Amino acid sequence: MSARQLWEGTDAKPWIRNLNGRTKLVFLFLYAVLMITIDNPRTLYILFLFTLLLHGLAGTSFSKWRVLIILILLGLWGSMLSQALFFARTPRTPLLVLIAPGTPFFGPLTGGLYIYREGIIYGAVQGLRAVSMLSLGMLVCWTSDPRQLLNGMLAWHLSPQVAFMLVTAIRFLPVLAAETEEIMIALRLRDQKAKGPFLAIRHLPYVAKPLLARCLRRSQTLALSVVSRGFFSDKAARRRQQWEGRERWFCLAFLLVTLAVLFSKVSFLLSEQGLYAGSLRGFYDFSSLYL
Amino acid sequence: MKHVKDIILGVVFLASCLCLFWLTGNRTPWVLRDSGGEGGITAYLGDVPVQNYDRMGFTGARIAFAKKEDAWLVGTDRGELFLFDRQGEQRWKRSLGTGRLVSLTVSPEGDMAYVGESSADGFYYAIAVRTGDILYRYKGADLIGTDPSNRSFPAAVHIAVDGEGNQYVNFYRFLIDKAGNRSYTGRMISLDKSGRQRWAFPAQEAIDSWINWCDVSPAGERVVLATSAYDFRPEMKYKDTLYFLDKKTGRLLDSVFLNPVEPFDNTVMRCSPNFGADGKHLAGMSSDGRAFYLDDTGKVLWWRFLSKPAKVDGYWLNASGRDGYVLPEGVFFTTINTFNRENWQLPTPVTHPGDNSLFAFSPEGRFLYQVRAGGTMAALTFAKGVAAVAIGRNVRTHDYKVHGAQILRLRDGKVLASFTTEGPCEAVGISADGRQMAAVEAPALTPDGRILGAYRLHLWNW
Repeated sequence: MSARQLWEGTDAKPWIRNLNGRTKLVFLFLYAVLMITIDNPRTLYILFLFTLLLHGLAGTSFSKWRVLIILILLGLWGSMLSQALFFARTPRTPLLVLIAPGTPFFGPLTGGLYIYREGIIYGAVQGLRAVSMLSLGMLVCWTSDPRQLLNGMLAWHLSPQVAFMLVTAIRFLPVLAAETEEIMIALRLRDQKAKGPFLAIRHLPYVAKPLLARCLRRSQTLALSVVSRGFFSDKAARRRQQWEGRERWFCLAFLLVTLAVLFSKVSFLLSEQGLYAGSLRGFYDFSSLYL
Repeated sequence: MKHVKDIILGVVFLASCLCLFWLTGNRTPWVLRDSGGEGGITAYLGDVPVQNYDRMGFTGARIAFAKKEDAWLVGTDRGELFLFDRQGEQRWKRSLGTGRLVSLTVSPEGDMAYVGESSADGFYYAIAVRTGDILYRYKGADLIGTDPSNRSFPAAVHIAVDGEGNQYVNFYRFLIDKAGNRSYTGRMISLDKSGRQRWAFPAQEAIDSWINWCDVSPAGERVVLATSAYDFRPEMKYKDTLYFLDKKTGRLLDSVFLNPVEPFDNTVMRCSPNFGADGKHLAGMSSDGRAFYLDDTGKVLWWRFLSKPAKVDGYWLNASGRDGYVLPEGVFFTTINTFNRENWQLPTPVTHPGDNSLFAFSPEGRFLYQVRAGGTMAALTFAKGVAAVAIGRNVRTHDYKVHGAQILRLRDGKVLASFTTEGPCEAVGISADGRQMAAVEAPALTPDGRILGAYRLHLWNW
C-alpha cells in the first residue's frame, strides 16, 4: 500500500463509506463533547475501545491499523510519561526516584526527578481523551470522501471558502504523505551510503524544503482549478448529498444522550457548590459513578 | 523481520490496553494485593484525599464480618461497599453514590448489611450481603431535612439491630442559624426486617441535640439513645444524657441526666453506652473521662474517673472517653488522645496518663487492668475472649511507629498479637472465630509534608 493510499478513504466497508458527511461530523463533534465532559477513567477507556471497535467494523486495513497503533501508543505513553514526571498537583506519591535531590549537580538543578503515581493516572486520562479523538478522527478521514464532508458543511450554510479550506486540510494529508515518500525516495537514491537502520531519520532535515515547494506549486494549481470550475457558485452549492432519515434520527438520539450526560455532569458540579435538588439525586449518582 | 515488528507492535498495543484497564479501574498494578508473610494480605480501597495528620474529622472506614458468607464487609469514605473473602479476594464492590459511608452493621443471620451514609440525602441502605443488591433504602433528608448550601448533610450515624432483625437508626445533622451559631437536629427511627418503618422518636418533632449513639437490649425490651451535644443551652428541650425507649413502640420509658463535671457544660456520650448480653446492664463512657455502669433504667450503679480533667499551666486537659462495653470477662472502657479543652488542636503541656487506653473493671467496679497504646484507640471489637483494637493517630506525640492493630486477651489484657501499619489504623474487625483480624489504614499528611500510608484493607491471621 502506497503512502497516499494509506491516508485515503478508499478501502472502507460500504456501510460507513456511504454515510452522509453530516452524520460523521455530528458524531465526531458530539463524541468530542463527551470526551471533554467525562472524567471517569474507566468510562473514557470504554469510549476509547468503542472507537477501536468502529475501526474493526469499518474494515480498517492492516497497514492503517499499524499507523493508528503507532500514533495511539505515542500519544498515550507520551502523555502518561510526561505527567508521571511533571505532575504538579497534590497529593502525589513518588513511585520511583530517577534523580535524587542529593545527586551532585542534577539534584539541586532539578530538585529531584520522580515518577509520580497520581501523574500516571492523570496522564492516562488525558491520553485517553486525546487518542480517542485521534482514533475517531482517523476513522472519519479513512472512510470519507472529502466531498462528503464538504457537502455536509455547505448544507449547514458554512461559508464555502471556510468549508473548502477545512476539507482541503484533510485532503492534503494523503497528498503530503505521497509527496514525502517521493522526496525520501529521491534522497535515498542520491545518497552514496544508502544503508543502515536510521536512514530515514538522517534524511528528515532535508525533506521540509522540497515538500514546501511542492505544496506551494500544488496549491497554485488547486486555486486556479477551483476558480475556473466555479466551485463557489450557487449552482455548485445546491449539489448536495441527501441526508437519510435514519441517519438524522441517529444523530438526534446521540445529541440527546450527549445533552443528558452534559446536564448530569453540570447538575452534579452545581450540587457540589450547594445548588442541590433532591429530585436530581439519580443524576448526581450517575455522574459520580460513571462520569 | 517486518512480521516480527508487527507482532511486537501488536503485543505492545494489547499490553497497553490491558495496562489501561488496570489503571482506569480502582485497582492499580503497584498496590493491587499483597499476600503472605508477616504483613498479611493487603487490598487497596481506592484514592481518597489525604488529610492532615492533626485534622479533627479524619478519613474513616467501617468494617463488619458477615458470618454467613464468611467474608468481610468494608464501607469507605468514597461511598463504596466491598465484600472481601478471607483470602482478600474482592467478591463484589458496589458504589452507593455521592455519600460517605459512616455506619455499617450486619443482621444477626449475617445475610443483610445495613449501611448509613452522610450526604445531601442521607440515605440508609439495606443490602443483601451475598449479591450486594440494595433491598430497600430510607431517605434521612425526609426525616430531619437537609441544607447542602451549608454542607449540613443528614447522616445515618449509627445503627443497632436486634435479634429479630429490627433496626434502630440515628439520623443527625448540624444546623447553622443566621448569626452563624451551630445547633443540632436528630431523630431515631426503627424499621422492621422488610424495611417498613415501625416508629420514630420523637414521634412528631426532632431532637435539638446531637445523637451519635444508640443500642438495643439483646434480652430486654429497651433501646437506649445517647446525646452528644457539647454546647448546652438552657432553652434546649432534650437536655438529658440518655433516653430509654420501648423497642416495640418507641415510647419514652426513662431518661437520665448525668451532671457534668468541670470544665464541661454537658455530659456527652458519643460511642456508648452499650447493653450487656443480659440486657440489664449498660456501660457508658463520657467524653469528660468518666466511666459509668448503669442498669437498664439508667440508674448509675457505679462510676469511675478514668481520665479526670486537670488544669495544667492554666489549661484544662484530659483524654476523651469513647467506648463502653459489658462482656462476660468484665466491663470495658476506652480513651483516646489527650486534648486541650480550650481547643482540641492546641498543644498540651503533658499527656494524660489515662489516654489511649483500654480499661477493664469487674461488674462490681473493681479495677482489673489498663492497657495503654501509643495512639488513639480508634476502633474496638470483640470475639471469643479477645478484643481487636485499631491504633490510630497520636496528635500529641506524633509517634508514627505506633500505628497498627492489636489482639488483646480480655481476661488479663495481654497483647496476643500486634501488627503495624504505616498510616494510622482507623477501623478494625474480627472474624467470628476470632482468628482473623481486618483493619483499614488511612493515608495521612504529616506536618513536615510526608504522606504516611494509603487507604487500604489489611487482613491478618494470628
